[in-house]
Amino acid sequence: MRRNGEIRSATMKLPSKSRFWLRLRANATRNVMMSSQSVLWIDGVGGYAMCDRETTIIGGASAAADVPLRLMSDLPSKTAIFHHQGQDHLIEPIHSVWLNGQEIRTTSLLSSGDRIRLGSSVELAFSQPTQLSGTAVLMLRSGHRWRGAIDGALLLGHSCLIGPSPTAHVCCRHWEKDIVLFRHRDQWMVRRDEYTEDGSIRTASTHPLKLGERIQGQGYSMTWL
Amino acid sequence: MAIMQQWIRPMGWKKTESLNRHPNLDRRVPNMGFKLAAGDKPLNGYVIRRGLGMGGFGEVYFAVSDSGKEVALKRIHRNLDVEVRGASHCLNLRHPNLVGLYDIRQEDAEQAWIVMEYIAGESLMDRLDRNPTGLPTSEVLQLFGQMAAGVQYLHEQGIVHRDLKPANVFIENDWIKIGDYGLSKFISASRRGGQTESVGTFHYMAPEIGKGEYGKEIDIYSLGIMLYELLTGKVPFEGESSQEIILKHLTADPDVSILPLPFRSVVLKALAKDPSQRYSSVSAMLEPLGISIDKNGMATGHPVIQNPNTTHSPTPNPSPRVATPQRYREPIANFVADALTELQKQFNRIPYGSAAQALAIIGSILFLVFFGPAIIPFIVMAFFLYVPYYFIWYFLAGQYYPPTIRVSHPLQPVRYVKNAPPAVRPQPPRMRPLSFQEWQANQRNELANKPFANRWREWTGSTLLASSILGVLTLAGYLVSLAAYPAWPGTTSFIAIGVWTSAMTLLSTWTILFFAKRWENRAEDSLIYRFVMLTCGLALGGIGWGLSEFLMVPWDSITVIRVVPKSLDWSGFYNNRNPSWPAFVAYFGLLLGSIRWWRQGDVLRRYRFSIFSILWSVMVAALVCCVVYFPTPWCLILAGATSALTQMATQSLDSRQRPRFVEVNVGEGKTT
Repeated sequence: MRRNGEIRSATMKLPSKSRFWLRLRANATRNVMMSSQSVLWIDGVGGYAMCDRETTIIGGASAAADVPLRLMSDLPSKTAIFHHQGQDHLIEPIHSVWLNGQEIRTTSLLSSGDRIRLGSSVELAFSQPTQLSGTAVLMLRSGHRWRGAIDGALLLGHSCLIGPSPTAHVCCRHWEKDIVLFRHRDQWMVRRDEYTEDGSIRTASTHPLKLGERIQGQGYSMTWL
Repeated sequence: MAIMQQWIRPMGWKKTESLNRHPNLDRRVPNMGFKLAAGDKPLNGYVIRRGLGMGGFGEVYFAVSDSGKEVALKRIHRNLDVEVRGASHCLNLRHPNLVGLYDIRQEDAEQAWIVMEYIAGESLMDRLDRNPTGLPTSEVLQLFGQMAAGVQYLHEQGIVHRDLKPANVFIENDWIKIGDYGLSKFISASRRGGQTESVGTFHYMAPEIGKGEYGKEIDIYSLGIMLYELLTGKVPFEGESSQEIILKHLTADPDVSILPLPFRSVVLKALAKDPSQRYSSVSAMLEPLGISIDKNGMATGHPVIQNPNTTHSPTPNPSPRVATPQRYREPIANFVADALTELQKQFNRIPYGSAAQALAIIGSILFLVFFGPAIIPFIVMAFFLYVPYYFIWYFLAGQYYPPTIRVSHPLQPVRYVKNAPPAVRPQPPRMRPLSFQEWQANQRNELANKPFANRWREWTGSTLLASSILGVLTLAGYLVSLAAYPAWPGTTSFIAIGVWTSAMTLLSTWTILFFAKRWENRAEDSLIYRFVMLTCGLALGGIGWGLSEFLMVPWDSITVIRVVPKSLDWSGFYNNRNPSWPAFVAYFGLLLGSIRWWRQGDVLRRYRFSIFSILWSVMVAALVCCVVYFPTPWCLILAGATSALTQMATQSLDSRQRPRFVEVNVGEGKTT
């Protein structure tokens, strides 16, 4: 509970307009502590951390296992917290966080194309290819690496698009069709086109996505681990 | 056809259906068929995370060792006992631009694994996909230099890559890493089925591969193709089918006209059909690009793209020399302009700051001082004759001159192909000349960042410099006049006029220097500037009058050319042939207002020192004299000396060092 108190006192410093997020925070703290990193390994494209909680903590490499996004850098174990509510994503600075070249001290709304700098050198690009899905993508722009050999992080909303289209969250240029991941109750579902034997007719199929499952199809394959 | 079959066979390709499918797609799309999934452990001690791509002879996976080392695992299907032994040489190569090979592991008789360095970045193919019209020139040189350095190292080690293509080149934090080297030599020999070979390699293959020749010239050829693709975003030889591409490699000439200049000859020579006509080494290919390979095997050097004049181009079809555009339609004006330009060129050819230049300046000043009064009436007369002539010429011939039409790009016929991927439009040149004005505008924006203190320091420096130069010039002038007019220099009237001219020259110069410095970082607003200068001129005129009264300059006795009749006291401007205050005020006001003096003291002027500017100033002063009848030659000396002093005392960025070419922006291209 020391952690809880710490965060409370941090949020008390916020100006009144940010108090709104306090309630959201209180609900989410418990979830954050249990969250562990799961990664979608897309063959030929990259590995993406799947962050489906309402809050996601980002920090340095020395962070404990309960921090889902860890960077191989000199950052403190908890540098910032990403919140998300509906279609909006926010960043709450705990240590030095810069947004588009300006240091921020309060929780700030993120918009697609924002540059986030953590500490002195880590640079992240925040993008939301489609506003509606509520999903955002974090990619490293400085020469750093993520812990766990991933290439980026998905701050998941209610759905996520993977494929060749320009609005996809994860761009897979060589694929033929997009794959949609979406939330259904507490479950992630996959919707994709399936080919019949002769390869001509395809039907959209939907099935639940399970941890450790391999999804394979015409010209693509990926594993959720 | 036979030669083409032969061309395919040695590398073990089967002529399958996929060879004939749309080539644009084939060049890009690797066939993804990863047999192993995340979590699999095909090799003791390594856990697979994901598939990376399809290499020349099997899938490549990203794996992490038990201790956490990230590696790329390349799977080789067949028994490669012999080849593995041969490849051990490659295993110990070490170069920053090569993907490191760690080990070759054989788990069972049928399958070997190559353990390689994992590159956390994209391949050059991905980079080119994102930039379909090519990369900026600076980036091309940076990437190409590293790429070539890696290939050069391989050649030095006696290894020919044989399979250089963007898919085999990786970029990690601006570092180029070449992969798949060495192995292709051993593996291609044993390849029978040709099952997983990507078709794209055709685009990068030298023509002599058909004859089974695998010298290092084939790598030079591939580098040439890749240089072309980096600059333009497309390969020089494209075709609907593999046969067409091969045929083009064998016969067609690449279209290098869309490349910036130093690259044309390099690409042409690298893509020569005859291997002996190509560059003999990678470093020879880099030399015209201004890149060299240092003793550590790294690419270094400054690109010469900024200064294309320095590269002699042995281009077989050189572009026609661009004639200097006619500046004036009217023949006489054009002749005079050309003559002045030629004079200017001759002057600038003299090394700056040399004794010869100083001699030329002093000579022309002396010439003006002694003969100017005699010449100026002729100039004025010529001008008055020219004006009516121009009007006659304009109405008789001028208006029937055909208007100049500027053709930007000839129209290209568009072919429509059904169900084909969007046709690649011919790319306009990526570079266009940078005009002097654009360079000036860019530099002005940068000057805006200069701190105020620096500008202040520069202005103080140039005012002090102007004072000392004027001191030297005055002394020189005194000595000359001592020699020429032994009777004069001792007289009080001569001393008075000398002091007056020097002092007024210095004051005018200081004024000009001040405004030139003040306006150096903003776009020119000629009207306002002229007005400000005119106002200052009026003030200077007042000072000049005061000084003349104080020194009691006997204007009448020292006027060389008399334009004011003795009897006439010209509307109150003159009192007994001595100029009174309105003459001073009008002369200085007109002189400062009618010449764009601030340009002569501008940091961004075209020439550091321009005789033409001095002549122009003197001429305008002469015209002003015609209006105000100010005593000559003192007013002319004053104008010329001010011009010379202003130019000498201010520093300038050398416009001849400016970049001659600028890249065409995407938006800019559309407007033409």
